[in-house]
Amino acid sequence: MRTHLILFLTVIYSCNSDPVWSKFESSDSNFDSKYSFEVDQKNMIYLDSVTGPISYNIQYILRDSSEILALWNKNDNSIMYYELNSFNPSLKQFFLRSGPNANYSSNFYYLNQDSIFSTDAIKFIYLTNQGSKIENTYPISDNTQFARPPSPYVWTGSPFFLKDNKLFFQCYMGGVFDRPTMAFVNLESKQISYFGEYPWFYLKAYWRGGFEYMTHTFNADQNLLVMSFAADHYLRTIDINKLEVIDSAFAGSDKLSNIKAPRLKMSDSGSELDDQKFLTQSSYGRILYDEYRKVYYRFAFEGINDSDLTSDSNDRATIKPSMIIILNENFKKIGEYSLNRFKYDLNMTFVSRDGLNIRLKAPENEDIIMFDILKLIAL
Amino acid sequence: MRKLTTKTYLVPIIFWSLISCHSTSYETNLYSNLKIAMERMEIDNMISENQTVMLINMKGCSVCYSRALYFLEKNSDSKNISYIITGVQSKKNLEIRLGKSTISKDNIFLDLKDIIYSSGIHETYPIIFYRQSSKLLKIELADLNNSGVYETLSGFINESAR
Repeated sequence: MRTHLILFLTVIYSCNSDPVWSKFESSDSNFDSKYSFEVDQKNMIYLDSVTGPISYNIQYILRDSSEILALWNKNDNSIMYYELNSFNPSLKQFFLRSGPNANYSSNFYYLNQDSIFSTDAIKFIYLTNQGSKIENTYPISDNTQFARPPSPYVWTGSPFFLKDNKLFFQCYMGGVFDRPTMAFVNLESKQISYFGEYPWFYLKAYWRGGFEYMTHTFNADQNLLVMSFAADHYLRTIDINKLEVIDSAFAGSDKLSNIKAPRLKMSDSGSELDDQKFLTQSSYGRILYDEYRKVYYRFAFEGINDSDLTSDSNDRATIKPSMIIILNENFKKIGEYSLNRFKYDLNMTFVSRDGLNIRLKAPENEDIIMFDILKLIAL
Repeated sequence: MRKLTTKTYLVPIIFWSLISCHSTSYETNLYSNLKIAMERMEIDNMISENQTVMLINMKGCSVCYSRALYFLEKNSDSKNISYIITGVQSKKNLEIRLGKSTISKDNIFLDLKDIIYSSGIHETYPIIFYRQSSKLLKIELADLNNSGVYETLSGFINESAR
């Protein structure tokens, strides 16, 4: 009898476990469409025989009016510095894997010729010069604050940035949502401080399959850190001086829908369907601040429909229709632009003097990287 | 002591039977899809019926496919195994990583048209198809939890060589 009662209560309890949603107010999606993009120019770099066309650690550098694109080459552990539209790399910097300057990083942040930061995400954050000599090392985490502290997570979509002698970086621990999302290391004291958090609904369910990721951008004009969580229709902003969340701003679209968490708890069954639940629902990608035009760009994705999901084409079944949400520096939405679904690699994007650069997929020619330049135009 | 009824025995037996049936049909299905894909890639005649086949998906788990590629590098000369690499995002990167001479070996095949996917194999982990006389002996997924997978495979292909 008692067993039956427990079973009955379990069934009732599981029926009452409401799904967790990331929602938005429909009134928030109203906006005046004032800006869009036009594509009429390209940036190119020509690759040598040991550099492939895909790198998710790239940085645009404007130095003495020269436009340089630096990219991480995982084939020989080097940073390649290319002048845009030139035929040869202007410099190639190797990270050594042995000896006194051994550095196992596979990312970088170029500040100037004497200061290049990188991390192996296991042991240290390194400060090197352009000759790859290690000038200093810094800790990646602080075990006194958390028993299992999150690790640095550095790529083009979550880059290092420096402010007031503090090096900021994103930290991440897959599937753990009650840890801070950001940290900085004080370059003088070598102390780590943590801040930032997942939006509340991440703490109420188990957001995996792709929803666990966050990207960020830093607006140095306003000292604002802006974070884009994959399941969040709103952007979260932090005043970097006070380290407080100061606002959330709608940065979605009425073409996108509310998002349901794949599972309520990690222990719930159905982990094999997490990826599918991510693919068939709306989500968000990179956030970029355009300091030249004082606007933000946020990549947003519609869910894949059932016929595409079950199609024979890997691309149709895994690449979501995408758009760019354009916001002014006060986070007011001012435009929305649909992208060709299969044309671009949205993980290789950067803002240059001329506009938003997005890599064109070109499997037929892997000795060149080509970017479409999307120029912001007033309507 | 509580008396065990027939129902108490039957329920777990049926449950486990169902699970094992599912597992078998999944593996059979996977293998028949592999054979379809090999035919469509026109490589079915180039892979001996006694060879083990390792399928490596480079759009899947990156740690897992890196381990599989490492195994391939070390064992590409073995005549008892063939490798099919699918989900290749950059052929050039793969050539630099493995070397052109390795890529062009007789037992290494690149699926650049996603034929594996369109033949119904969507598994994100490397899959090892152990075969004999074209018949499937067993399938192993080289996921992160399968720690001894490469020792077993190495032992098997070396044993077959004798």
